[in-house]
Amino acid sequence: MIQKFPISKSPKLWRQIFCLSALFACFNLSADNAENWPQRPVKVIVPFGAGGSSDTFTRQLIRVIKKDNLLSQPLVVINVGGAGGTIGSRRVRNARPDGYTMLMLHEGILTAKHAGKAAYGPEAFEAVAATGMSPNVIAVKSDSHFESLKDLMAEAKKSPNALNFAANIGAPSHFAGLILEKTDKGAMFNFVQYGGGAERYGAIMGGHVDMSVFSIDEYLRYKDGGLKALAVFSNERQAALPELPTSAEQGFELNSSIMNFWWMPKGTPEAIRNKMAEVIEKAMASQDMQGFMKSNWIKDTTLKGQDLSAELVEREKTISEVSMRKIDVLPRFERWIFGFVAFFSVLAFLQKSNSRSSERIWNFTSIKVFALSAIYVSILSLTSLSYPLVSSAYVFVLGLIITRKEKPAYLPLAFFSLVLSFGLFFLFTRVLVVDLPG
Amino acid sequence: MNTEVLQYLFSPSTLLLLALGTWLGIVVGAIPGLTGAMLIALSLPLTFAMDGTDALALLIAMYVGSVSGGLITATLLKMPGTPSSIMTTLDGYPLAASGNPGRALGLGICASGMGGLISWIFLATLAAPVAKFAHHLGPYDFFALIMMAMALIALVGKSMLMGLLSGFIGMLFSMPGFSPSSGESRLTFGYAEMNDGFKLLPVMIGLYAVSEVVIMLKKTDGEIKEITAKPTGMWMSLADWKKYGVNIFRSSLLGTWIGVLPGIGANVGSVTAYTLAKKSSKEPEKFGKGSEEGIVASESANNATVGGALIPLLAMGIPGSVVDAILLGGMVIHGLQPGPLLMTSHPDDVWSLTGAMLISNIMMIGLMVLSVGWLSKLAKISKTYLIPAILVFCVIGSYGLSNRMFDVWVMLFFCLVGLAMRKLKIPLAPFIIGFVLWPMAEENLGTALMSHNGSFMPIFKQPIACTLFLLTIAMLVVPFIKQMKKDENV
Repeated sequence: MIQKFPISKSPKLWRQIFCLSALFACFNLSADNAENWPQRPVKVIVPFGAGGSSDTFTRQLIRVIKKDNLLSQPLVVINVGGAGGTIGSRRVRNARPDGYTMLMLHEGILTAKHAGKAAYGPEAFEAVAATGMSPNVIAVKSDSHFESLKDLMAEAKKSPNALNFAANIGAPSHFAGLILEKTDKGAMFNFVQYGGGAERYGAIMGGHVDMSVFSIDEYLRYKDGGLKALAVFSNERQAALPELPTSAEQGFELNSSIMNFWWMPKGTPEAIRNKMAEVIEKAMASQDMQGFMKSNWIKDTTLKGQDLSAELVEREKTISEVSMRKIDVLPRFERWIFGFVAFFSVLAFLQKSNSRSSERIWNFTSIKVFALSAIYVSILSLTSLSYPLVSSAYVFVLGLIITRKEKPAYLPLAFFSLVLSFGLFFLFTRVLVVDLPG
Repeated sequence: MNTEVLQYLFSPSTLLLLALGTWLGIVVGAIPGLTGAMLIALSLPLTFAMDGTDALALLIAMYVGSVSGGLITATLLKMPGTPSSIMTTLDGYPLAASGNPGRALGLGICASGMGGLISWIFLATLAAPVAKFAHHLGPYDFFALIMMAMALIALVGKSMLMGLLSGFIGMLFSMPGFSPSSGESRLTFGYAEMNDGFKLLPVMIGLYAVSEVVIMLKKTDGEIKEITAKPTGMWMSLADWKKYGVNIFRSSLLGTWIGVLPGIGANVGSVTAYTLAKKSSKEPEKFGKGSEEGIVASESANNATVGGALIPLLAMGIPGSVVDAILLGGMVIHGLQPGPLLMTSHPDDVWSLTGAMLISNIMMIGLMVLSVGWLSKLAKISKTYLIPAILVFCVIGSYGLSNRMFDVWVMLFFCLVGLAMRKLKIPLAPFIIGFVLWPMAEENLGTALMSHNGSFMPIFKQPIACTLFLLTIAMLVVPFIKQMKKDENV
């Protein structure tokens, strides 16, 4: 055991790694300014999974920007889904305001704040632009006895809390319902949790709820499957559904729609925001984008500057005027489960005889490997050292730990670690255009 | 199916695309830490430039391949390449280790192929009616159904008590974050990153891949039993077909049906079919020690869920699993508006995609048999190279899900949980199933309670829910009574 730490025998390698990392660090920190923005790809965070309507819209717009060469650097979509969009929005909120991180988040940014899902709203960001609008429609089953919004509201007023309204609690569909309630004093719906548009459609068709709201494109997708719209929540009739009366025509003043907003972290220079807004505006005017919006029944809208601020103030006002009722019919499920776990743990403990395997399942090497992995993950999360370098170092040291030969094969191992890390880096960032840590 | 569809399906470019997709799916499915969902999510942006039908056919081929590829690593390395092959490890590895790797793989591959074919028949004939029926299930029915699935899983292992404990621990770990029923945040300890709770992928990777790697380290290279397989003796004989025909048909049927139900994927299909096969087997004691029936049940069912899950997706635009949710997004991107209209507005596309599933299933059988020799080398690669590569993939896989380091930490944490559970002899499969199913159960129960003003009574008034609920209770109580009678006799 002379070579307990064989790696110390190769100071040259360490020096090389150090120099390379220093070089990369310098490269990462090189100062940008607003005039020559963008110098590197701009990350666009979509706080929902790939394939949803936000994701589709963003990718389509970015495709147009790239095709028409509107920006000198590419825009890269990163899906950071979860917790109603708040995981992704928080990421952008904490990002450096250098113009290289952007968020695309609809109405959900307002509803998350007012539903208490996030402690911040639009004020924590710089709004860049708003693009595309999809008004909400309220729909019932096609054989329902409700023929108009008036019928429905009269019923909701006559027997409050009796009509079941499918909504994603705390999300835009829920707030649309709350805003509708407020137009007619005394009317009350019983909101029932159903996640996405597809689930709400299923709930109506199965007769489990009486109504729900859908965006126009969702409604048109399900219409022939047995839905009947009663009203569209906008000031004017929509081209996609010319025969559908607006809520205002039926005596209920309300506006409720989904609009896509583009945000940058607070403090991002105005020049950058304006440049980005112009790029988005140009892309929206392109034929490709117009065609896309037409086929998806999205209303062509682009707002920036003053108009955008006014729109946001208006929307926030509408949402802040309604309040969520506390849901008190649900038991505290976590207590149940905790109780069961405690109960079965006690039973298992009493049945000691066959528990506890006497076999050891880890040894010193596995502890070292685990610790090294934890260090590797820490470096990736805490520093901005480049991914391939950190990973090749990790793979190399890991290989040294695992191999138990007196003389480890340094060369093949080094070769392997470099090929693996740089290969994966190339594959993911260049071919698959996916973000990697670091 | 008209001639245009057939021409499209059998054109060289389509066949090449399907072969490529199936092959990639198999390779990714075979690598622990990488799943079909990841491959398909990562490939979706690549298909933007392609024709819509081509793109979706490619993605469906990947789906079929990835559900199948997992059985290779499950059998040869005792690591499920994907969640859907967890049950295959139980019998596949012991059988392979006892000197029959070719037999173990061959059974798995043939059963996978048959599962796919049987479910395809259902997809092609029953798409619309089956999806219509699912719509009549109310939230209480769904809740009862999920409860029954969970009870089934607890019964799989050696000790029912440990199974139940494991299942409830899994449910507990699924709790942090926004509640699926009320949307309120809970058990996050004030840490905002926890608002989304723990995601399945990092939990899975940590529990299975990483902790398995740590255990692998304990053994030296010499101790590992090298399991390799050659593509000979893999085809099932006529006697085999006779012996396992009923099992394959039952498991495929079950897999298809479970696939149809929204949100429940290949893993549940495989577990349920495995349990049923054990219950109805003449040699239940062999299960978990290399039972051929176990492999056949698990593998035919998980492949059958693919066809099953495509039924609601193509017929109603409702995704049946995580992968189908990504496929749904792909359909929207490529201008195929999902929904009940799709069958009438784009019949050729629907039939092309249905056909693509059939062809990639047939290709899967051939590709798997041909490449087993190559893929099984995964087990022969020196640990010095294999383990770092697996760990690097695990980190990328956890990170790639939603691009955040939090998930990577979750993965490391669940590696420790996995080690502790192994040490205490608590089975892992019920944990994962409880973890996956509870949020669905809670959402349905929450919905049901909200629409019935907090009352549990309707569960006994609705015929489907009531039947399922009583069955669940019976399943849990009967073994206990049997055990007590046994004790009395002693």
